[in-house]
Amino acid sequence: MDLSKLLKKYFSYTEFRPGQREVIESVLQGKDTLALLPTGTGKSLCYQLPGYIVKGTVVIVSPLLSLMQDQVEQMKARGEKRVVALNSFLSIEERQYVIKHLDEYKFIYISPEMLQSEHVLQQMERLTISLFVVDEAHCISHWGFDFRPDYLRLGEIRNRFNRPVTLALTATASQEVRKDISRTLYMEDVKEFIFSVDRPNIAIVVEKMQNVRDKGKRLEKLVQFLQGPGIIYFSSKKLADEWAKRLNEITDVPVAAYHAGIGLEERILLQQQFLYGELSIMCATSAFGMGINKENVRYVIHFHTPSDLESYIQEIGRAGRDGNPSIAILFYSVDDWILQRNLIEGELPSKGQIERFTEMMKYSDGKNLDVTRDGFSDSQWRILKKYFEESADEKQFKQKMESFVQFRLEWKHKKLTEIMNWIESDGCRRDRLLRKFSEHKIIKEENCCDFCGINWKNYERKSVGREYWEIEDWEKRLAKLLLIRGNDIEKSPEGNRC
Amino acid sequence: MDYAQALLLHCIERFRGERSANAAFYLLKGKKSAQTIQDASWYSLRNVFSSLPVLSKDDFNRMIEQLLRNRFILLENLNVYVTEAGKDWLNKTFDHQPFPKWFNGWKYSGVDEQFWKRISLLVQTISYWSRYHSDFLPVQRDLTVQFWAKNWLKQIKGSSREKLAYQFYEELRQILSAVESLGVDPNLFLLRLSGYETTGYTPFQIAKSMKMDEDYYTLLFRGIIHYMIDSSWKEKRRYVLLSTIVQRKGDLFYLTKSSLLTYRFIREGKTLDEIVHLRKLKRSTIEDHIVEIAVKVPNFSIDDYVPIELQQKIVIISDRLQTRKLKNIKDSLHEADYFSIRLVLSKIDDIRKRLDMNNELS
Repeated sequence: MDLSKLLKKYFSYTEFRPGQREVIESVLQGKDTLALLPTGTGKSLCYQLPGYIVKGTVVIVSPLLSLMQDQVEQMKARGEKRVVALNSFLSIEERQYVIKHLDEYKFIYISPEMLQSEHVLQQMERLTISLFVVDEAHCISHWGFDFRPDYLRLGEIRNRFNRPVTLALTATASQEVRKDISRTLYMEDVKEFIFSVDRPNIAIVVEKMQNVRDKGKRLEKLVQFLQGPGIIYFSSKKLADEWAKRLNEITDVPVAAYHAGIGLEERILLQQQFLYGELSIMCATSAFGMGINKENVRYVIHFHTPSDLESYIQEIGRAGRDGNPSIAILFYSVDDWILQRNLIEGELPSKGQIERFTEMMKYSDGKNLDVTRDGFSDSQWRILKKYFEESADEKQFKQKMESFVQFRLEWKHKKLTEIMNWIESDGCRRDRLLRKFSEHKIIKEENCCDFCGINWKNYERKSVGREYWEIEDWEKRLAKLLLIRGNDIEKSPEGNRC
Repeated sequence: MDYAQALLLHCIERFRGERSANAAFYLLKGKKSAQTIQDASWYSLRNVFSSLPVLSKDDFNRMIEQLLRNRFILLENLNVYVTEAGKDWLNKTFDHQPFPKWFNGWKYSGVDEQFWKRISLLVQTISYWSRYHSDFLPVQRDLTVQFWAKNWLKQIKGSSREKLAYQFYEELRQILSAVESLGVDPNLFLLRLSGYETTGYTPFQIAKSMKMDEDYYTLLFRGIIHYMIDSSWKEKRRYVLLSTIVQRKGDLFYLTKSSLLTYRFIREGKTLDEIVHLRKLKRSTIEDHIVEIAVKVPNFSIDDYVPIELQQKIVIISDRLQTRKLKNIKDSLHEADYFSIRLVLSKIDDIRKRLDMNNELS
């Protein structure tokens, strides 16, 4: 079997990226496989391509709903129609239709929530599942920075599916997390592939500042100096909105805000505009980036310190996928500590919320659990519901919840301290970052980090920004959309689309 | 937010303290409850029904606070009134940004969203298809919309891709030219569309570049959609493709089961007394049914129940007293019973129109 030929045929690529071939071969040999591949290296290919060789269905469990949607649309766009995403985005009718016709799909993406439904599980048991993929597998582990309680049942579910060949994928996992993954999924004789998280073409810079005002001033300077396109990460939707507005006023490049508060239809347009270079700067929350394959992002700025090094690595990894010089700049001020602590505490249910939830459950008789979620965030609700369902009584539930919250808080504070220590430490940033992932810097690079020294000239703006879009005559626009000869005003997409 | 506030103020003004601020919230959101539908009919607010379908309770509360702070409204014993300053501001806002004439939330709420989702996906698909490209990310992720578009394209058989694209272009050009001749910029609609090498803009971006309030922009946009649905249905031969995008449904508001049965008897020509006898129900119950029918069925005539002259008297009195309170109207017009007043209020806009027409003729 010639993997390269299949690669060309189905994906129009001429060669594999590092790691892909090894992982695919392992899966095809029927080995349970755990692969640690950095973001932007084409993880999805590792299970999509085997799908064209194995006979049965490929089931992909993913916790990231929007990423799932994007993957499905991208597969459809390249001509694969036997693919579906089974998640809460579907209406009840759509869901029923899909569940009835499960055997017609080759690739089934499914959210962990959906796998909690007995009805869904029964329908899936009838399929011949030849590859079971757990994406973002670090979510399984209590030690993971993004722990999802729903993931804990995946091992049991895998057993019910007759233990299909399993591929666990993640971009980031320490040794203990990797152990947790294999154990929880009941994987045997696991083949592990670990590829470096290092992205040598991304320079790493940390800038320490007094306060938010200084950060603002520095940001204004940087966006005018740096060559775009760029992504600026903020810790809140409100700040992303405010800075998009501000930067639109003071720069000559088009800027937009992107976060979960913006409607799906608009988010799709903003992604496309960014992809085609109609937008140069995205002021975003962490909601932006997953599933966006833009090759030529030249810089990523963090306006606040992220909550942990894993998130940081993922987010800066969105720069420079084309291999060209790019830069990641992190703004740090002491306020970031307080801010992150508040965010961490806000993610977990408070004592009052645990009480309120218990009361609500008492009065609702376990019915309508999903309607009255006012005052709870999605992640809080998910955790509360999960533990409530698993507890025998109220007392046990409260005990379980409290020890869970305690455990998570300690863990998150530990992760926060880790990134803060990294910021405060002396020495090569890249080397210190890689050490956290049990790696070492292999070669000395130019423009490595602020400690080793970088040449800012490399990142200076060369092309001139263009005017914010001009409104063209409506008849012209209509002709451009629908008439072939109306398309004389050429506009070429910036960067590669893949 | 400014324009949304104006719409809220407009409702409160029409209510004149007779209905709560919450009633305005439900009306603007387009809640299909009996009470809200009656409010919209009695207080002549059908045109703004469902003009802010995504308004949240939080935003609504913020708007009320803002109106209070600006002293545009005042609260008196739980009743809410518009102040003179509020009226001034409202008039100024509506002068500057008139409520779009073609907007008809009463008729097209919900249908408009479906129309937009479908047409935006069709235009994108045809735009790529006609250039023999099939790889694109659809602007609509809703599977039901995608299934619909697939079927729609399958049914348009026999014409080549280029021909289909041209026909679609031609129909859109014609209908948008009509929009333009009414003084509305077709770009308010067109800039939203995506296609081959063209990415649509978001409402926020368009409103900003046209220096417009975003709520007002959305209202204008939906107004264009309503116009397109309306014209394409009226001129099916001219708009062969566009008229098939959404189906003309029955009435937007369904009658309750019991009222539906009463309605059937009425259509068979039975009188009120006969129906009371046939259905073995109280007279007041059947009267309730007929009022519900009058509110929900567009062309239902109340002439069999209320003499035309009395209809006009009730309209004149209730407009003069500026009230929709049954008792106040009845106190000034002893010859009218409550049933007649309720029926007339349910059709007040139609009757007023007829009255104006008669005045113009005479």
